[in-house]
Amino acid sequence: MLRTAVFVLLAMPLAALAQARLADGFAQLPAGASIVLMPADIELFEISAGGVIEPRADWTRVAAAHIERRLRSRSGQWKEFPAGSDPAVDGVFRLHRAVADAIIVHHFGSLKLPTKEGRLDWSLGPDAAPLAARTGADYALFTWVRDTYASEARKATMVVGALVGAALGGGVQSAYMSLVELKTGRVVWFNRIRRLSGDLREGDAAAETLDALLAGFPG
Amino acid sequence: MRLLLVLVLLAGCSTMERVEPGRTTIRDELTVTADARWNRIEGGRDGAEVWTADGTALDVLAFYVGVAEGETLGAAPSEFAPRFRPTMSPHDIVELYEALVTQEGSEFRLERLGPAGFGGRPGFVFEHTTVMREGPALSGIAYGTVAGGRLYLLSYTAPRRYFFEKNLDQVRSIAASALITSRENEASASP
Amino acid sequence: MDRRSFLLGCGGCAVMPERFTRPEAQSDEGGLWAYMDRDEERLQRSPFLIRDPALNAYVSSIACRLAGDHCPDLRVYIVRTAQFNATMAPNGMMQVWSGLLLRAGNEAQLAAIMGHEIGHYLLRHGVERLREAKNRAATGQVLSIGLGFFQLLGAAVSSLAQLGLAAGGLAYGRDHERAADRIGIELMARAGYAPAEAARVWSQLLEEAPAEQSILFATHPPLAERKEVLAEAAARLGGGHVNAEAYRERLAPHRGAFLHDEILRGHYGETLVLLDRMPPDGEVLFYKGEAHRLRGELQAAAAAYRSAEAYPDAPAELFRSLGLVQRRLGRSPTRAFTRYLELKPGAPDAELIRAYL
Repeated sequence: MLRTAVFVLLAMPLAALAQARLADGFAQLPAGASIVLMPADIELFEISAGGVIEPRADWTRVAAAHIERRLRSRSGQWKEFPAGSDPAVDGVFRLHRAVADAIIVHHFGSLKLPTKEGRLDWSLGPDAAPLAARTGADYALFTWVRDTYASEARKATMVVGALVGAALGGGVQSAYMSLVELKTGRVVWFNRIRRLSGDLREGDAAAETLDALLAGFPG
Repeated sequence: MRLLLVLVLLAGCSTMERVEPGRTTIRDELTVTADARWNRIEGGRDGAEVWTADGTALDVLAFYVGVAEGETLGAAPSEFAPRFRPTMSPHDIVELYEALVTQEGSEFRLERLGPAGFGGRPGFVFEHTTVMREGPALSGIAYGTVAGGRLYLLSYTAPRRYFFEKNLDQVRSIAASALITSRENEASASP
Repeated sequence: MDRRSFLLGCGGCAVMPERFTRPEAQSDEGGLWAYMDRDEERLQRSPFLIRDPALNAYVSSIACRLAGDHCPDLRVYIVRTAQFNATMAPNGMMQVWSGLLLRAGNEAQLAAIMGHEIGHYLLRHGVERLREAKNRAATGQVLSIGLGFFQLLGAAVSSLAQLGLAAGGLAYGRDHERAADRIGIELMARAGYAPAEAARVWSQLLEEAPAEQSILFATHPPLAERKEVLAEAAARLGGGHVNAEAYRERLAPHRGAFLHDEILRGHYGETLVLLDRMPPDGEVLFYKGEAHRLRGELQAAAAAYRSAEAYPDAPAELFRSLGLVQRRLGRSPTRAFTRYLELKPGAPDAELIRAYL
């Protein structure tokens, strides 16, 4: 339910992004640190002419591949996320989502918590431990993407809409990446993008989107 | 509970304000002593007073102050939500709370229910675990009493273990410091 | 294969379509299928999934019998949700909700609902629905709930319900429902179940909840029509078994939890109708008492608890509830509370009960 709220809040006009992406005292990944690439939560959709939003399997698969390729090409010791289910690790996923929601709403969003004083100051604490145990990694990188693209028919409708003064959504790109230090559970880096342009499906556009998503990544 | 908070945030006209450490009065009737970690939602709808340390997606400290006969806990109830009656026992109030939580599809499990002082009069405390459809499992603790035919309830929920334990001592301390200060509360309904 | 000829199949001579193959990724069906796959992964990790192997084996075997050659493509999940519902997604994932398990009086009734859902699957209604929605939307008609708001903001949505698609439970439309009814009852009969039970499930539901209140009835054909069609088919197909005993046995370990969920819905009148339909035992009578108690009918509650006491399966909570009611009626709760603490010394509310004594 709160997830839905996050979307609505993200739709509200935002000030320029001046919020810290790094936690206090953290500037760079230590040399030799290992990072586990968490299975990304990605959904790409197409918006048809009348506004029906439908999932696109092919786009989603391609986007996931782009993201993984780009991350692995960066320096750093990347670890594979082990296959097989683990309720303890599922718990960490769920907790991390809630922490990410809090960061989006209260750090990057307009409902800032005065007690945080503008700092990126969130942690999963010892609850991150099952993930460390399962993967043997020092850090974990989480990715979440929701992206909609207007079909050609939709774009045509939008032009008509603009002529008659009706506002029709043409596609929104919402995504975040989060780097968690598993020893402490601290979120040491968090970035999120929310904009009306961008394309994770192919070529230069995908590269540009990934650049935006990885802005300030401390590795 | 969390769904209702979403509605508050969605109203778009709320802000978060710092809660000044020390003695604070909530809704003119309940005074508590708190430390410097809390933020409160300002400009929310009528209903619970909501505080949070790390954000409402994580920890929620809610104060239900002076809930009267026929009212539900919090705003926007369904027509089937049970309503408070001044003759309610602590068991009934736990059921009231449980109904609110399960309306959102969550599962509620009572861990403990016992007598406790609250607000300067006899009351009760209960602890619970709540599992939501989406999101982390939550632990919760609540203190309450019925005074002058009205319900006063303090409820703290947070993802279990780390977040819950982070603020638990402070929550207990807030509950112990609570005082109902309205004049009408001569006849307090004991559990 | 011609879907229409399957749809209008004369009793017993309808032919099943071939098993479905995975559609191409770039097709609309492919997109839907892959999306449902991810939804299924999430469901597999849900704390609300009922994992009991015995119950799962039982329910899956019913689905298998109904689906015939399509059996290997189906995966059945039992979900703890108090509403009466079963859904089936184009990728073969079926959900059966606990509210349905509670309300089916026997195996044949469960088979009727599952057969209906398999009908939607065999007729590929999910994808048709998506295509229909797109066509209607393009001509400016109103979309399903949830879409409008998010559309305006241009926000991306990820929940199935917001996509307005089949497995989330939104309406297929009456034609689809009629077709699924027809297929469902055929499948039932072929699997050896008494087809008369199909109409009975819907009658029972109507008794519980008046038509105006239930979304189910707004999106389905009128009950009178439905019963007529199903009764005709039943007369034609005849015979079959209901397996009431086996069903009750399989459900028994879970029924208490499901009844607890049912009470929490807060529709006490409906709950009482449901409970009246069940053969009385300690558990049923206890929950009758609960429904009365929560409606403020204290005498009726006390009477129900008293009757429940006579049965060996009466839950310990009965004594706690009886004690609470007696207190409110001004009588002594001592005997009841003492009995409760004897049976459950480690109860979560033991502290408070002791304080009462």
